[in-house]
Amino acid sequence: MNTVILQARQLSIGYALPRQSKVVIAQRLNLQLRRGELVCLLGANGVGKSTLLRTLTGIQPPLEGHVSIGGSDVHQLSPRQIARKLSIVLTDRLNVGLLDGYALVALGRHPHTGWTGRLTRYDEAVIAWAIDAVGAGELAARQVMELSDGQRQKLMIARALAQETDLILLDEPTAYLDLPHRVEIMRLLRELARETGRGILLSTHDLDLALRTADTVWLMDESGIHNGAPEDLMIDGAFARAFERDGLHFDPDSGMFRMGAAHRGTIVLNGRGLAYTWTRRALEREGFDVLAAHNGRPPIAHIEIMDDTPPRWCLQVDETRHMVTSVQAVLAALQLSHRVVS
Amino acid sequence: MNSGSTAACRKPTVIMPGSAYSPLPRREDFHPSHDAPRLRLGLRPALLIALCGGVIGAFLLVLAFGSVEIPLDQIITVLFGGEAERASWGNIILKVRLPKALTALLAGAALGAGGLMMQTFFRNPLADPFVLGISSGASLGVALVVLSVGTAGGALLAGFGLAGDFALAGAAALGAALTLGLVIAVAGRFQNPLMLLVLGLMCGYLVSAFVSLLLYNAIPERIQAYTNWTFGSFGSTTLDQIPVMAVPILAGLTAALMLIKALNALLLGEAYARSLGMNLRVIRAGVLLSTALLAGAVTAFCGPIAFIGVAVPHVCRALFHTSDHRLLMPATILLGGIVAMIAALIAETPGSTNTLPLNAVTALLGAPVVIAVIIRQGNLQRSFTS
Repeated sequence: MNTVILQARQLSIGYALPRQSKVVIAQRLNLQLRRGELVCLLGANGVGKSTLLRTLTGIQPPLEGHVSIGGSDVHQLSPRQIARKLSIVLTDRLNVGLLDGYALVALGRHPHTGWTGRLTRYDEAVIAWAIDAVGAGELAARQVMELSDGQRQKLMIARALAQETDLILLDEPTAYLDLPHRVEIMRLLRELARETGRGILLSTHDLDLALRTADTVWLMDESGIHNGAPEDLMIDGAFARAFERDGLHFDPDSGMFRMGAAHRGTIVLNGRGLAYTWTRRALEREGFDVLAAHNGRPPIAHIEIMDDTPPRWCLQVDETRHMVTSVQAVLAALQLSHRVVS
Repeated sequence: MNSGSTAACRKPTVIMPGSAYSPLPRREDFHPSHDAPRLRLGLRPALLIALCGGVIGAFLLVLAFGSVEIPLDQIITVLFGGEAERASWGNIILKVRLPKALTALLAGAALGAGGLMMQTFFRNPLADPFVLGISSGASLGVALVVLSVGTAGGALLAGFGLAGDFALAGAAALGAALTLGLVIAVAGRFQNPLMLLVLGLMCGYLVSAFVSLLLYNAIPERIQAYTNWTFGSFGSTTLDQIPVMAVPILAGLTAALMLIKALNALLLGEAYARSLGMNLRVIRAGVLLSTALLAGAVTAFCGPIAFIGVAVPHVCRALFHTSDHRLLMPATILLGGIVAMIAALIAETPGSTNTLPLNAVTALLGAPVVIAVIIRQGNLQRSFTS
């Protein structure tokens, strides 16, 4: 099962422009992707993810090094040979005209059919399987242009499956989708990698989802690519370094970004359950440090959550006590406090 | 094909214990049910057969109707090599109507196929076979011959008489060929189709500026001759010239049919087309060259025939409700031929000695149809790839 499908050795990517010096984006990359593995390529905008994907797919020549897919150098293969080893799904919202879902998926058979594009029974079976595998059975007879972005992306993935390649590359496949569809597509891709034995590489900005679904993360920053299980990159601080920006703080404990690094003081919060969790989130979002007991420096406020249904918040700011019934009211009371505003 | 690649996929899949999702069937374990989705053809075979019938019908109509009334049985007799009751009828059919019908059929098919290729290639619903500037080049060639040659040249043309038409065709073909060369050269340099589109447009303006200059200084009779050429005509090709016109058009149509699969891949855009194993350079060259051949041959023999190239692909998309070129390309070729022959028939105004300018007829006939089709479709975006 652990066959390597995609391998990059000592790969330098970038542009060699005529009459100018080379623009090197990343160098000496050593990467590999195995059968059944889902790899997420992460990195800030402009760091070179697209260039890497273009180089891996053979569209752009590397400055140095080799990329091999299934044992052969991708830059030596003809487009048709590449098309049998590698399929792609792009971000673009396609306007394909008047095609139904089936016809769209059937386009995936192109590298395997003759010049007329006539489908054999084998081709038809593969198409039906691919449509079934992504759960798009009811989309097959519908016009592609009438489908939602998520449904269309499912069909594009089915098209890539129908192409019967060992490797599928997806460039930000979830960019236009809402959260439930993103989760659905990522889950589907993970499932496909596991159960069809294909290797799947996708670039994404969806950190949280990538951390939850990827077997391996390729984290790209100015220094190169850090590669490993998402958890390992979290532990060794690679994530925090790659995404550190002004006013943006990556919290390795939660695997999430925290906005508004400004520290506005300490709040002592006591309580339990759902109300506690989300009150804490709200206070942290507003830039407070939340503690269970004060640690010497006087806190701005004490908040006690009463275990009623619905919950009530007992709030002590300065010498004033408030009894409120929502998180919003808690935040409003804190805003009113003179010390917080100054 | 894929003994290697599928064998690799056939390794047993490992399903993790406690996996929440139901396992996918493996490809080889999957047997599509009999109601599994398939390529739905619907009424399409019937429509295609109807179009074939339409071609034959329109062809016979062009032979049957004209300024002189000839009985149908006489037409059939002449077509099968028999003698007509009157010798003039045989002449009219074989020397006037037959070449006209063939010219219209070839030109219509060529314009339809060329228009479809350009619309898909440029992802633009307004593209026609002449966006590459072919007709501009041809019109410059004709304008140079008709307008700029001195009195000697004029005498030459007049002296040729009917053959003067052939001189026009030659000039148009030369102009079209030069434009074609330019297009291929430019296409090699600039990969972006949009760039080609804009360059073609600009070349068109440049050429019409030249033509305007020539027109401005020409004498009225020459202007009239040039204007007549721009009206377009299916009637100026002789039976001897038909093969000369047919060779490039049949070559272009063959290329268009060979490009069906590539055109379908281009529906997904160039990046996907490449990922499906298409060689974009070859496809680009093929599309441009075959369109240029088609448009060049039509312009040389019939003048710049507007409209059919834009309209027929749209009507076919609406008729067949698909962008799949496997249906669209043959349908466009057939319908293009039908439309051109009907236009030729109407331009002839059967029963009278008048003729109408062909370009006026195609637009008068076609524009309302296209408007109706587009309004009924509601949204061009949906029916089109732009």
